[in-house]
Amino acid sequence: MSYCVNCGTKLQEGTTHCPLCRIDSINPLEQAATPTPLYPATPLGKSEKPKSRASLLCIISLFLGIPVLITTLSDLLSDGSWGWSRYVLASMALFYVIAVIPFFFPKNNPLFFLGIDVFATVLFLFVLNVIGGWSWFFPFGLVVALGVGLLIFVLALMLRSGKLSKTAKTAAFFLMLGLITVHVELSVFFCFDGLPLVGWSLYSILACLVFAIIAVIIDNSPALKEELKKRAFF
Amino acid sequence: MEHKNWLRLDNAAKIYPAAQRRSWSALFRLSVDLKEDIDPALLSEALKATLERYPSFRVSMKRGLFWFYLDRNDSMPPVQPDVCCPCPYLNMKRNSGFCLRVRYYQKRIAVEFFHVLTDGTGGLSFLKTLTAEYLRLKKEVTVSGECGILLCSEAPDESEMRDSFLDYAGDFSVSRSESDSFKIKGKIEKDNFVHLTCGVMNAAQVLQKAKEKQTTVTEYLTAVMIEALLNIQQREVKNKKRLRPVKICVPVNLRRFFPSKTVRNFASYVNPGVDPRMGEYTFDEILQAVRCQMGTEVTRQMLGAKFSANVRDEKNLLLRFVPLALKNMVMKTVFRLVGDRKTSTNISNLGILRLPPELEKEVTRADFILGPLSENPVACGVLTYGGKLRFNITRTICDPKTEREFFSLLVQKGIEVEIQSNLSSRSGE
Repeated sequence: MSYCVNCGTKLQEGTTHCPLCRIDSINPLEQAATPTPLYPATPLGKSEKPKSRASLLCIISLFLGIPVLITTLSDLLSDGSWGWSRYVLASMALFYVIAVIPFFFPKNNPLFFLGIDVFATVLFLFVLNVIGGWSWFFPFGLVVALGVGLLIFVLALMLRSGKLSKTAKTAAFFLMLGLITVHVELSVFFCFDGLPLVGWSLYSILACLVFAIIAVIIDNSPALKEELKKRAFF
Repeated sequence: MEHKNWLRLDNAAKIYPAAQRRSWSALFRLSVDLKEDIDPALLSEALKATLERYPSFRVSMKRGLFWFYLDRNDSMPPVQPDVCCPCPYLNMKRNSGFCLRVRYYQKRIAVEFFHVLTDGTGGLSFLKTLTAEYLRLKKEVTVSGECGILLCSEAPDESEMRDSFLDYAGDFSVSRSESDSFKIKGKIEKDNFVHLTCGVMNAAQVLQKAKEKQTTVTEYLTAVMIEALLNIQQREVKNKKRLRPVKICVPVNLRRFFPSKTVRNFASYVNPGVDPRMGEYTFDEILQAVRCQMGTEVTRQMLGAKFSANVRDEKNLLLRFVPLALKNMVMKTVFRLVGDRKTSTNISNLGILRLPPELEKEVTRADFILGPLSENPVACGVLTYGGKLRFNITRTICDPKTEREFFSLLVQKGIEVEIQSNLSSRSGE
């Protein structure tokens, strides 16, 4: 019998290295022997591995294609031209990218998916602009989408940070929400004439600021935090 | 006696189908080693007779409108050769619909159970009966119905299939809220391989050490595990503000406090632990904390109040009439928020395996292994037989830091530990 020099545990007869410390432990007085394996070397079979998502996702994809197909056919058959169903197609494509595509990836990577979602949203707005024959995409749509995407990205980075407390993250959330509304209204002002610089977003930013300040106060007051935890746990 | 062809899930079992994921289900494994190699044909025959004796195990789990239920399954589960690791994912469709899996390897018979069927005590009763029946067929060993063995020649009794939680639930319940605990982190092993490390100790030596400290074996081992995890957390978490309590989930067999013959789930749990944010702990201080917490919580009254809360939720009219699909989503979310997050790992001790003398002559070894947990990568099962206490640790991460820390602490405390591992069974190792 050998003993591991690191953890001190006794090793199975014939074992030449410790399975816990991964270091060699050879007893020169012990005759060489093959240890009896605790389990066979048979690899896991199909019934012992988790089900693959790929086939399920393919079925979901096919199902989502059904409303697109029906609306497109209805549109084409009604007046011979491809009209309103293009909006349905664009919307379903956006929904598919946001809701289904992440499940094709084995690892959960929110920041990467956020990037894809922003790109898909920009593309969606561009398609809407082209279908409708409008010209708001570059001065308004692109600016709003990229601005909101950037603010959400920053918020996601802050929420994933291990350095901020829950209340600090709550404050950051409300602050970003307020900034998003201001950004949208500013974009509207610069793109469309006749609208005030600051209107409805003033109310939302003020409300968000109040919530953010409350969260910051709670974050800096351990006694208040504890009292809230006691009264509001679920 | 006529039996219904279907059963409701017992109170504890209701969470498992909801908590189940594409890649995880709550499994545990019990095994015995005999003196000769296993004959699979005889084992299959023994299994058939044992399943007749345990109708609550001869079932498939099916979806109802409001709840899952267990439906009688007249086919036979396949008796399969063992694989490289314990408790891999259970695909019930490929297992003839059964919620248990019977395996053999050289001289070993193993049964892996999905927790909807039973707990450790019920599973042990099933394995003992299966082993007795197998030996009766192979060597004409006659066994009396003692030590928890249910004779296959007798008809099943309805008391063995009762949901005892409903029998003993009272009107008063206690809050189940707790703080989150320290999580063992690490890189998840690829190919769904589950590492098993078995620490074999002299049971008398462990008992002696526990008695010196005036504790039980479970309390002693729990305290050592807490000390191990505190050491790991101290090394890994530098910022003291980010330290978390270290708590261990210790299942408690309710049959000790509430008489019941049921072979279904009838266990509760206690989560003893310490909070390192309050300061450093010596081993004796940890032991005292565990002893006090177990002493306060492992009483008839506290355990009854705890499961009464679950039974009250089950009987809630609003909850009962919610469609299963919606109920599942909510229970899954609650489980993710509450389930394994409150503890760092589990230590489930089934105590001493007692067998009739005729079986004791044939059985050389017994093991109890917990399958991987939902959120925690390490789980521990303990069973004592033949003077040997076997502490089985399963792990889904690459680094064996928990086992290394735990077993070296035991060695430092004067307990000799022999290590066995399934690392050599991994292809390429």
